Amino acid sequence: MNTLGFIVRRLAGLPLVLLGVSVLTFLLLRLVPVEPAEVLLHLSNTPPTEAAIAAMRTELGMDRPLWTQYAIWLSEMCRFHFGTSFVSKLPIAKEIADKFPVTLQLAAGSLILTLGLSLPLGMLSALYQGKLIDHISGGLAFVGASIPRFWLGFILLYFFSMKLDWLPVQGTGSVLHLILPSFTLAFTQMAVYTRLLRSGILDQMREPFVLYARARGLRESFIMIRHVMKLALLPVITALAVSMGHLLAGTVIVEQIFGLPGLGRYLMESILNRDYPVIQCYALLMAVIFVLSSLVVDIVQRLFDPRTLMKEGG
Amino acid sequence: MRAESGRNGTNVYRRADLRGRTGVYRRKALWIASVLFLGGILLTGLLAPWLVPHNPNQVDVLQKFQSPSWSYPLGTDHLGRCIFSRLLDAVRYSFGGALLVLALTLSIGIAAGSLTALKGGWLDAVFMRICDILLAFPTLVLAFVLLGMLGPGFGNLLLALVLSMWVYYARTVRSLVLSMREKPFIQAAIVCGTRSWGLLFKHIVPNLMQPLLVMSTLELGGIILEITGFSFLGLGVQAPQAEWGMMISDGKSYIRLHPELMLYPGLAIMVIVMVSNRLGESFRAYFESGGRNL
Repeated sequence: MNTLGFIVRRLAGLPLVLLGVSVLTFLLLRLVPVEPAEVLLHLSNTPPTEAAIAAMRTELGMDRPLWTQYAIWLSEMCRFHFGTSFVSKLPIAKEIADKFPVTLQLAAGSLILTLGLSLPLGMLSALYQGKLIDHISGGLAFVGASIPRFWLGFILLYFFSMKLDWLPVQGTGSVLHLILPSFTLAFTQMAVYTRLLRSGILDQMREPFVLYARARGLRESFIMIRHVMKLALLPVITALAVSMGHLLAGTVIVEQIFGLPGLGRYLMESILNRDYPVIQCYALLMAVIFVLSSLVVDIVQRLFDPRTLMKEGG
Repeated sequence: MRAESGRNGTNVYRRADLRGRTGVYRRKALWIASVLFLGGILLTGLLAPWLVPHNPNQVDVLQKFQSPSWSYPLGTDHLGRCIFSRLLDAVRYSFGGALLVLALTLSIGIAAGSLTALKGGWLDAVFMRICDILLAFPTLVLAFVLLGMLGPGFGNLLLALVLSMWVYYARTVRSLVLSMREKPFIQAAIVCGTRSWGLLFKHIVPNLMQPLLVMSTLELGGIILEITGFSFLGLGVQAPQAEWGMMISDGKSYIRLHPELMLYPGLAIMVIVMVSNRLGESFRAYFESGGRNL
């Protein structure tokens, strides 16, 4: 099977998964232990009498059969009509559009930091295996896997913003504001990537094609970059798909610590205010982002590694 | 794809990273010490109500921000509560909660995974579709959303974590059982007329124990981080009950003058997570080497 066929087949599976995701997201609202209509009345300070609840149910369309509700909801979602927030009464689509850039900046910043720091570190610790740099990166990886992210955020805040006064404590506006939050988010991921790349390089170095390349008299740096790194990066790319999920969820905590007005904080406010439509939209949005990024990673990986083609006899 | 991998995408059977200079005895000592340490923590948590020097929720504003003393081993917090007592009282929730989540996800995972792998057919097909849908959500995002719908609280937090994690265990178990089913000893047992329950409990479950022990020990630390993280955000354990994540959240207003309020619970979390990660690595090295390297 060629690469194009693979991409087409992967794309063909997409609608089914997205449909399932939408059903699950829709049904999430059924988990709510109280009546959403009652919550809405409570939020608008109306006494929840029998008649008021019934009227509100009709207004929300919750008196119709479940599958009709689902059809209406889905068609609204497909047209990017995300509904209105229970609390602010503003359209959710607008609020998300306002807050998304902050979260996107944070995620992008942390991804750049993660890759920018862990790739050189992983390479160095593989090249100097058992030397000081290897032990340092091993130690960092061990700490990174075990440190609570919210605690790390405060430690960084304490030293760099309060003791040394190098970086701003909270808020947004400049690149400086993004350094600490991005690093907090990146540190735990860095640990994973450094070790992954290190063991990937060490594995590849034992392969016969490296010996052959050396026998041909190629320069060591050329072998490293052209042959070894290309394959050693594959597990890193796979891990990127998985860590997208950690990244998305991690922004919630980091935004809370550093007071960034992003999607994560919006989710937290909505959870505490029982703003169910917002939570639903967040779930759907995150799932779509996650599914699409896994798809991209799968395709990139496929293009990178000719061996997957050979295995399938293509 | 990634059939035998944990939630972090790490392969359960990654090549062991055994350095020659670490002797067998040192490794053994480390392993035993880790088990004893975690066992000790669990025991401390269970006995906490009798071990604490003070009532962990006793507010005494006159005693606030006391330095460590014989009476208050780690000093007192902003409400004059004994920090040491609160740390001990929190073990049940932060650590015990994680063990409970692990036990529940493991049981559901083993049941669902082995059932679908053995029965096959439409049951398996439906199960795989459900997996695809659940795996389309990042685990923690799903936990956040479930918790948002159920409402904050410790019980709901545990439920949300179990509901968002079980599918990874179920899929791992399924692929392990599928590969095991082809092995001669299972084939022989079937030929001998072993009933499916006997097959399951006598032959399959015992052989699942090794990989699942590695996987779940490596996950334990992650679950502790999640429980404390959610409680830090105010979605888990509710005040006044002490919990490490919530103690950090309580201390954050006093970070300038009293950073030690955040220091102790953070260290407690980190040390326990480090020890359980270390233990998971030891288990992995042991099983990969066929039981020679413990």
